[in-house]
Order: sequence, then structure tokens, then C-alpha cells
Amino acid sequence: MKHSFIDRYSEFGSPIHGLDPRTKIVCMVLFVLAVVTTPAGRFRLFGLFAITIATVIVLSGVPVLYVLRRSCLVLPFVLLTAAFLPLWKATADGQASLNLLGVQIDRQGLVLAGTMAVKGLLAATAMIVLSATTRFGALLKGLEAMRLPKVMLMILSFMYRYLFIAIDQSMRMDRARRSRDCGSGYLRRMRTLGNMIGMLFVRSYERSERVYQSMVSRGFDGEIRNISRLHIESPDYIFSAIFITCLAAIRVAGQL
Amino acid sequence: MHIPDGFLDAKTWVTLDVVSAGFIALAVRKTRRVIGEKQTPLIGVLAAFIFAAQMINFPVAGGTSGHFMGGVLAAVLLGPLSAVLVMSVVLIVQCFVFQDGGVTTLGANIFNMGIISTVAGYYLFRVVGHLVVGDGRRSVAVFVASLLSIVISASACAIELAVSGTVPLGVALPAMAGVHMLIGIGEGIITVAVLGLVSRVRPDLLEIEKA
Repeated sequence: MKHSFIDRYSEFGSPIHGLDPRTKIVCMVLFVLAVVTTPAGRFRLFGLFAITIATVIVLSGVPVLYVLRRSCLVLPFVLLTAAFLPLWKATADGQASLNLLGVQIDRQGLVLAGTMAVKGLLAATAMIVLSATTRFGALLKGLEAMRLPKVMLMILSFMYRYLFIAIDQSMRMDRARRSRDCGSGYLRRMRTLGNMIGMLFVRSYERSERVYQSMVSRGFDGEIRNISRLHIESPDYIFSAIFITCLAAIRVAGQL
Repeated sequence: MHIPDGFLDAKTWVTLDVVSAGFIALAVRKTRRVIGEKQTPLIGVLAAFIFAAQMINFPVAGGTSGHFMGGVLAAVLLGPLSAVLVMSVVLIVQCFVFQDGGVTTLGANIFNMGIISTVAGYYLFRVVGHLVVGDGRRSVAVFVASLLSIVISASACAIELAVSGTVPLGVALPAMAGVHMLIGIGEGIITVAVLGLVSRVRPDLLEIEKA
């Protein structure tokens, strides 16, 4: 029942893990905003952003390789869209500035494609830092303290609680299918998949009924009360002050 | 189809963040009135279900594979507004926990995959259901709605990227729509099969109070 790909490493005890979830949410979202709004082609600034986030990763003790591997999930999208930008821009302006193996490549398009790839990677890295250093429950508590609608939070926490069970169930069914299905045709295979997903739905629905009944029998009246143990302490102030100063300094340096 | 950060310009992502937030607020208010307190565990568990179902890959032409999205399935089972909530929660978790899709582009991703696919898909299902006659009416409507919902979401994604100057519309739109036509066929077949199974096993579930 353990799926290590969900909030893995979030049980470590580093200074970053100890921060209040709100501090990390605000800092990482600010980081993403700072990166996304940086003009194209300022690769030196992106380098500074990368150093900032790398420092946080090192402090958190989360393996750098793990972060890199996860952030590479962005790359397929980069390849699909940004990769043909250089070719497109070349035909749009009618003046190619590079000629590579007989293919006209536009320098401006290349810069734009590189910018998008770097922005996507940096933003994903920041979110990996957030999810790898914060347990999902703590993340939800942080969002609750930041006044996200209660209904959404309850839905999110139910989803998270049953995600593992649903994934386990679907993996078990898929294993059963693979061990019995030796190369059937397209339509038949799709029907089997449909039946699997249908069964998954019926089981999920019946589970939600049981969960609801057991909640009602324990006095659930539509609201979940929990004790919030969130405290913003001095490490939070110090971390956010340094982090936000770094972001601001990088952006100001970019204006010079 | 999850757009990462940095691929949309500010005007596009800000607009879509606002639009999606508005839609979610509307959906929260409406579903609370129609289904009541029972909705919270139901929607949460079904979001987990959609998440798990999306991990199941199916073959698409040429040795590649696509995965199930489930927008129309959720809309037909729960009604369009509850389906918006289910899909949005899935996308929020994919963004924050799995880095599938960016933070600034979360609104765009929710708009494409959580709102368009469910709301447009649901009304397509209703309209086609009225146009076609015969025994297989429901299946035809579900198939067409699922197929088109995928194509429309993909087209919306292409248009957003083009408006942001990331890709040329003339290339992106036909490419995205074409590829997703093939994926949509799979989505259609699976959605029909899922609803067929549900109507055999628990026909009462097709009559859940809709929001």
C-alpha cells in the first residue's frame, strides 16, 4: 500500500522540512511567478534562479538526482511545442540567422524555445521542492490557513486518502488482465479496459457510500473540525526574508 | 496536454486562472445545494477514481499509447458541475504533487481538461442523444461526446499556446486536433464500455442526483 512516488522524502527532518507549509507555499509560488515573468533570453538570470533553488534543495537533503529526474517530466511537452519554434520563426521572419545541416534556424526562435524549456524546468523544480519537503496533509492545512474554500479542502483530503487504494486496485486489475490476456485485438482490449474502469468506478462509489455512512454514524454534520498546529516561527521569517530578497535581487539585477 | 509554466503569456494564464476559479466557485455552490453534505466524500473518492483510471494506458495507432481522461464519464455519471469539481481536484493534485502542469497555467489546464471536456462533453451528449434514434442511442451519444470532448480540449490547448505566441496556430491546431482524434476514439470506446458495465452492475448509479 505504499506508493513512494507520492510525497516521497517528505518525512525527512531538515530545516526546510521544518518550515511552516504556508511559508513554503508562498515562497515557491513567488519563485514560479518571478521565473515565469522574467523576459525571454535572460539566461544569466535563469542561472541565478537555478542557484537559489539548488541551495534550497541541498539544505533540504532531498537527493538532487531525484529532483532532476522528476523535473524532466516537463521535457516531452517542451519537445512537442518549443522544439519547432526555431523553424517556425525562421519561416515567419524570412531571415534565418543560422544554417544547421541545411535547415534554416532562427536565433530568436531558438532563444524563445530555450527560455520556455528553462522556465518550465525551474517552475517544476520549485514545486518538487514544495511537495518533497511537505507532507500532503500539512500542505492542505497550509492551504486551509490561507483560506482556500473548505469544501475544496475536504474533497482534496478525501481524494488523497483514497488515492492509494484506488491506484492499488487499478494496478491489481491491470496485473490480472495482463496475466490472462495474451494479445487480443484492439476492440476487445478496449472493452476489457472499459470494464476495468467501470468496476473501479462501482467499487469507488460503494466505498464512498460506506465512508459516508461511517462518518455519519460518528457524528459527521457536514463540517470537519481539526486542531491546527501551524505556527509561523523565526526560521520561517528568516527563510522567507532571505528567499524573497534573493528573488527580488535577481529581478532588480535584470533591470540594470 | 498539461501545459507547464512558461508556455503561456501573462494575459492568457491570468485570464484563464480567473475564469477557472469562477467556474469552480459556481460548481461548489451549486453542488452543495443539490447533493448536500454527502457530496464531499463522494466527489473526493471519485476524484481518486479518475486519477487511478487516468493511469491506465491504451494503445493508439503506431505503437504509441494514450490515456483515459474521463471528463465525459464524470459528467454523465454526476452531472457537469460536480464533474468540474472532480476533474479540477484531480488537476490540482497533479499540479502540486506530481508537477503535471504548471502553477500559473493551472487555470488553463483546469479550463481545458476540467471545464471544457466536462461541460461541453455533457451538452454534446445531451444534444446527440436527442438527434439519434434507436436502441444504441445512448452509446452513440456517449461515444461522440467523449471523442469530441478530447478534440475540443486539445484544440483549446493549441489555441491558448498560439495566442501566447508559443506555437503557430496553423501548425498546432491541426496537429493537436488530429492526434487527439485518435486518442478520442479510444476515450469514446472506453467510456461507452464503462457506462455499459455500470448500467449492468449498478443501474441505479446512473440516476445519481445531478448537479
